[in-house]
Amino acid sequence: MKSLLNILLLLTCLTLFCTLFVFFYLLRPFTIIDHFKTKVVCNTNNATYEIGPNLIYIFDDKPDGRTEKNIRKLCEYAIINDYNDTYKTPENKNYRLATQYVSYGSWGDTVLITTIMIIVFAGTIAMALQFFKFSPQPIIFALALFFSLVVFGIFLFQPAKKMYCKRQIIAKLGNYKRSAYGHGLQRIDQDSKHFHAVLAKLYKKCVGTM
Amino acid sequence: MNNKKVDSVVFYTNVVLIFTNVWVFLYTSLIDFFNFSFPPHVTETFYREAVSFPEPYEMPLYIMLSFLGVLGLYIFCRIIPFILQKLKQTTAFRNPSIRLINYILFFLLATLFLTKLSAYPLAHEAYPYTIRSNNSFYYLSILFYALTVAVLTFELAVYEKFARKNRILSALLFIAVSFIAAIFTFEARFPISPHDYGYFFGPVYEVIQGKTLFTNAYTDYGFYATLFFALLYKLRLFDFPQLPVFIWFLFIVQYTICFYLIYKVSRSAVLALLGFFAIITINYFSYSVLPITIPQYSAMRRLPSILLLFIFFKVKKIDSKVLIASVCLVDFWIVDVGVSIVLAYSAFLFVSLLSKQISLKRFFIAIATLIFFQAGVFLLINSVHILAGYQPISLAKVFHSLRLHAGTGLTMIPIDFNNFFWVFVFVFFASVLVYFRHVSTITQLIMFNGMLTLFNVLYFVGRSHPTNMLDNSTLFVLNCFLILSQLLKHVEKKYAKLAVYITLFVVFIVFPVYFRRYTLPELIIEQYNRIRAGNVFGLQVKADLVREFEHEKKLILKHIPEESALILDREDVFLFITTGKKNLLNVNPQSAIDTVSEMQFATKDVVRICPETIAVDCQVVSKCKEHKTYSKKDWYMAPFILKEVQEKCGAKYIPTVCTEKLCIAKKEAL
Repeated sequence: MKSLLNILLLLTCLTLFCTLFVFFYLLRPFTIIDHFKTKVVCNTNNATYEIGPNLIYIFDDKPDGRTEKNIRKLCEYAIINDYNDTYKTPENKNYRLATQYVSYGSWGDTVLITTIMIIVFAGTIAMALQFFKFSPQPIIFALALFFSLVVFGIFLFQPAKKMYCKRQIIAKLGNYKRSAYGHGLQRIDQDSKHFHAVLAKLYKKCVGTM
Repeated sequence: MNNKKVDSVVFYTNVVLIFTNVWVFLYTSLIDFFNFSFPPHVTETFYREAVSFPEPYEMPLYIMLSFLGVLGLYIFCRIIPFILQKLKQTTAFRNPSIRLINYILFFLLATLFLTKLSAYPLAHEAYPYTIRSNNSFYYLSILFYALTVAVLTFELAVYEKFARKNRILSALLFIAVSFIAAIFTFEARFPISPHDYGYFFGPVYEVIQGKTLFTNAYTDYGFYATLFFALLYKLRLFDFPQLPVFIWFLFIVQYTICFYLIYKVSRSAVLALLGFFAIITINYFSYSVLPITIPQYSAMRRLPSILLLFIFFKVKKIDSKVLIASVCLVDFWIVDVGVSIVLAYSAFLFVSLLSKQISLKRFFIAIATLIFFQAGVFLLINSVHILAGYQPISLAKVFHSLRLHAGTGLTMIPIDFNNFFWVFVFVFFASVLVYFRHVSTITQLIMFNGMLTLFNVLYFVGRSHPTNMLDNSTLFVLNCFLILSQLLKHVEKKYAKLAVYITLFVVFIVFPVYFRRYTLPELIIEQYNRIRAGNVFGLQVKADLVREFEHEKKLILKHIPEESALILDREDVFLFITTGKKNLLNVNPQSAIDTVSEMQFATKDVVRICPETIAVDCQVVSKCKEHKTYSKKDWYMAPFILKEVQEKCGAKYIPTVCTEKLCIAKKEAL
């Protein structure tokens, strides 16, 4: 009975530790380009435009081909939304970006949430131990910690990374859509095929390079 | 307050901070997650697609996380005494290391919370005024305002000390407070924003003319309110220009009840006066324009909730029939507020059940009574309609209207992730903790107010504009002061109390005035100038309507002799009021039409009748250039309605005679 409880405790702790590691990894903060505050500054007349409210999205560090065209047209003709490509794209770059970043989450949040999880897990284990009137040896916890690190490293790191990358993608799209809300959802979604393709590329890059 | 008490307050503040920080983190992360995973779609066809930004997850997530937070705090309050007992650590705060950890934790959690906040709503914004070059004007204004408030607080507090034991003198205190509220919120000649008042005038006019709300008349805000004013009109107790006077009265009642509640709960005149002035400063003077010019702002919407708090304080029983009947009588005064109040009261019942203040049997009886009374009120209203020769209110259309607005995301604004609004969440969790820690009539009042605030701010969650946060600030500030009154009970030393009062004065009065320094003095100057101009109790709207629509009135009366008319103009509300014609459209004002289905509902009767003669804005039929209008030039539906009517009637309306603003057009078959 005692060894069975030891194994059960080991497995439970292993699961809980793994969950903790995954959450800690997943909830780490990151910064993205802020579509509310980032501005395009035009070279010719120094006119400035906030990117999101003008339906311009930059999900990577720099604009993709289509966005580049849109920004150039914005500076040249003061227009947005040229979906039919009626205006000629200026050949040379005619703007600079005044980029502002926004942080999603913070280390404070990450530590706070994982600490709460630790307290809840510890409390649950303590109550279970009290229920079974079982006093385990500390080595069980040490073993669980060691094995959970191994399991996380071998099996869970990649899924956690994928979730973390997806979180970034979600935040980027959410930030853009919220900044462009004034156009109404239908108009924002006119470009959905394109920005989803850009985001899919970014996701692959994130998963592959990290 | 001794050290032990301070430690305890810091400890529980930490708990609230933990809940709030986790709540905000989850809320901001999950909204984007749900929007990404299950993207919303626009199902309606809009005339202006820019107004549709559906937010299907913001409100449900807000309610769900708050509900989980309440459960979490309940569990916490249940297990903490048990754990402390187990650990034999009931005197944990005597341990210096634990005290230190407690304070460090407070510092860390408070810092984390502050990083999530944005500035005060509309901080440092000057709209609609322009910033003066003389900066000292603003600082002098802050000083003047703060001094006025401080002097009034001091004088009334001194008076209260002498009057406390005398009933009549005590009653005079409330009269004095009402009088101050009346003076602070008095706008000479009762100006209005015609565009905003149109959303109240229009439906009231339609009901007066024999239409039924939802069934064949559209309403954006009022339900019981619309019926109430229509009834008063029929009884010759109300006329349209008097609506701002009524709203002024609501503001006075609202602020006086707030003073009353804080005073009765805290038994401190100083705290009650500080609360009273804080509410006026934040709710009234932080707004960009004179609040009574916008009828849907503050009192009209929030007074039902404040009245319910007052009634609860009087009856002191959560499932009292009087309280439930009051809920049902006032809830649908304004449509969206009705939903909030019903949800808030139900949630209040639930936490009372959770904290064993009512049994399961009493809980179900209260819910059943609520449903029964609500159905009763609805049946009574419908019966009155039928007896008076009106069509009954279609419940299906009420729900359809609510679903349409919730589903299409009409004029919704997404919530900013760095937001001052998180302070509301913090105060909500604080009120929940205060309640679960110790249940009494006062903490029940705090809890009820917490629930009312939680659900009233749903409007802000959907349409997250800072002004909507200010709109809800009355309930929020009231709850802050009710909670503070409980903490202040433990402060015995005179100087400590004085320090607390000064802090509250700075936080709740000086800071808001400072952040809104560009508009607050301008609002007061505007008030003053209006008084100086004389005829203070005259009704400006009356004169405006005569002046603005004199020629158009004559034109319509001369060329459209029929009882009903189709008037396609952005001033439709006022043209109907001045001419007394019945509206052929099922919507008034026309700017309330946004979708194709709303257009079909609005034009249902017109396209059946296809009137021979209509009145139409001269600009729509190219008979004039842009002209000055009484109402704000907002989204304009007249061209779309004309197009719809012409298409459905297979005719064209040709202008024959015009004023500078309006034309009479005759039907010509195509």
